[in-house]
Amino acid sequence: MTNHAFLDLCARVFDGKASRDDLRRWNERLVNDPAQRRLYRDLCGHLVLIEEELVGTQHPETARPPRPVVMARSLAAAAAVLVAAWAWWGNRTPAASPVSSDKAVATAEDSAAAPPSAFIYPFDGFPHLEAQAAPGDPDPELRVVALDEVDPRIVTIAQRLAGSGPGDEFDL
Amino acid sequence: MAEVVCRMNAEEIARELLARRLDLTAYLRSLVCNRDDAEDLFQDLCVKAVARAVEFQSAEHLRRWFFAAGRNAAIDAGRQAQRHPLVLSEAAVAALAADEPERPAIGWRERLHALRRCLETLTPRAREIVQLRYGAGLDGRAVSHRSGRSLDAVYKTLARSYQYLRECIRRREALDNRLP
Repeated sequence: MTNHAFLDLCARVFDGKASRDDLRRWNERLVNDPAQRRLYRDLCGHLVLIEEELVGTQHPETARPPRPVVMARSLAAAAAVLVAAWAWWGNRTPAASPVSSDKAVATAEDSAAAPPSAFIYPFDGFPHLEAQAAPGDPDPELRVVALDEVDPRIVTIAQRLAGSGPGDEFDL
Repeated sequence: MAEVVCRMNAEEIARELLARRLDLTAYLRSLVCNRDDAEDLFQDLCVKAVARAVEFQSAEHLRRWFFAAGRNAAIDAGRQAQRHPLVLSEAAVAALAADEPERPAIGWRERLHALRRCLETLTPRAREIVQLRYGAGLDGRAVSHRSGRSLDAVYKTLARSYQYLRECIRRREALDNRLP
């Protein structure tokens, strides 16, 4: 099988359009042909780059819907979320075109976990993130506003890193 | 004298994994053949890695754990999806995971830059199809409908574009490596 035929088959497999016979042949190539296995790995690496580059730059008509996200359940978890998000931000290339998001809001239910000031501290001086807490509020809500563009996929990862559970209050 | 063993803390692990996000996601994608599944798996493994923070003695240790855990998770996911036709056989997953992933000659920012330049040199028709398929996330049939080309032509264009981009990025990487 030529490389072109193999890549053509990859396109069909990724699309869920390969026949059982095609799938069998495709798997055989991956098991038995190191060169085409490497070609496939290169392809996967390039597809990740292509999507990183193209997702978010497409016409609104074809924009992907946002992926499900989770909420931070404590102040400590919310803090870890944005520390991780900031770690990501520091590694991001400025020339890339991130998914636009005006605002990210995390609601913390467990106000007893830490005083609001402990949460605000990690963002002091960071231009892209801002913490807004409501001290003394009987029903404390912690709002974390991203002032610039943040890739929602990374915020989702950061939330999960923080150990938060499923929910729908994190609004991107 | 007792040997001092360094351990990574949770923040170091998070930074390491996020800094290598694209490379690690590419590896996972090769095992699950799907963007969303690869991202979900990446997130799950990040959470597990942070939870096991005290076990990791170095970034290399973490990296090797990640590859092994990714392979096991991909095989498990395949077994759980038995009602659907399996895409990658367990033998193929094992073969892919057994190859030591190459360490790219240049960082992902530079590769992204190279890709951007290469995408600009695709023909308008090919770029439109790549954009619809991987930017907009449309499946082949929808790309075919939107672009007015046959499904077969869409797959062939994607295959040609992959080959072109691979060679183009390699040329640019080689060029960048020669620069001081």
